[in-house]
Amino acid sequence: MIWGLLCALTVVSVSLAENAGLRGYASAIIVLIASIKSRMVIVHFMEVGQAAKHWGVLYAAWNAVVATTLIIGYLMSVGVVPRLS
Amino acid sequence: MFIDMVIFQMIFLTFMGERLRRTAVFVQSQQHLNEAFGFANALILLTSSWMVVLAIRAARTGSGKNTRRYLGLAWLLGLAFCVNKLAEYYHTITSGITPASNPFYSYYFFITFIHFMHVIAGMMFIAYFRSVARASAATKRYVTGLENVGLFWHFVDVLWIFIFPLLYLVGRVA
Repeated sequence: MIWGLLCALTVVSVSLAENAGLRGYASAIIVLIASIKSRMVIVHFMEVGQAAKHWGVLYAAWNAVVATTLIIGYLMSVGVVPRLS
Repeated sequence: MFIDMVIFQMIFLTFMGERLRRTAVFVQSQQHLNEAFGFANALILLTSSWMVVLAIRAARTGSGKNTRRYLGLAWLLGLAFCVNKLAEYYHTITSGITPASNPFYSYYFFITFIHFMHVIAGMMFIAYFRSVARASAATKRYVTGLENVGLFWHFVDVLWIFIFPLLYLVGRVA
């Protein structure tokens, strides 16, 4: 069931944040999980597949841009990705 | 609504830019947030979204009674979100933290308050559609209107899906 999976992924995210052993990787994984959850809500709850095709593209693009922004921003802050300035 | 999503994406981008400039302040300030509040709200909104899905399914079959039931549950969960959010604000402010404390808290209060206002608006839409469900659930106009309310409510849920990790989780463990 979609709802159950969404809740389980939320629990996984919180567990990752508390797991000091994973260090910096946890934050990137947490954002990826958020992106997956967002995609699940967009597809299964918002039923984007029933809408005109461009909406699916727009929502998918938004999801990707937000996730990329957060991941790259975080990786820059810990020095894994070079800062722009 | 998509414009609203783009605006939030810009806010997230600005937040990450500021976090890059003042990483130490952001990481240290984040430690004072209690992620239990955010976690509870994440589960509340996911469940409320699910109730709206069920309400729309009921409306499509013309069942006004079930539509009312599920919209009522969705609304009550929205209320739970509001109570939890206000409790968190009270807890945060009484511990001496305000929007003026530092840039992290400025963003924290701004982002969560704007999202909170969207929750309030969504609850108003849900309440209205619940009030007319018994008389109108079988009509195409009602179903279309409720589907649009559902889209808005799921959008509010999607925002919290990203806001929760952004403010409470990302960077919490260095």
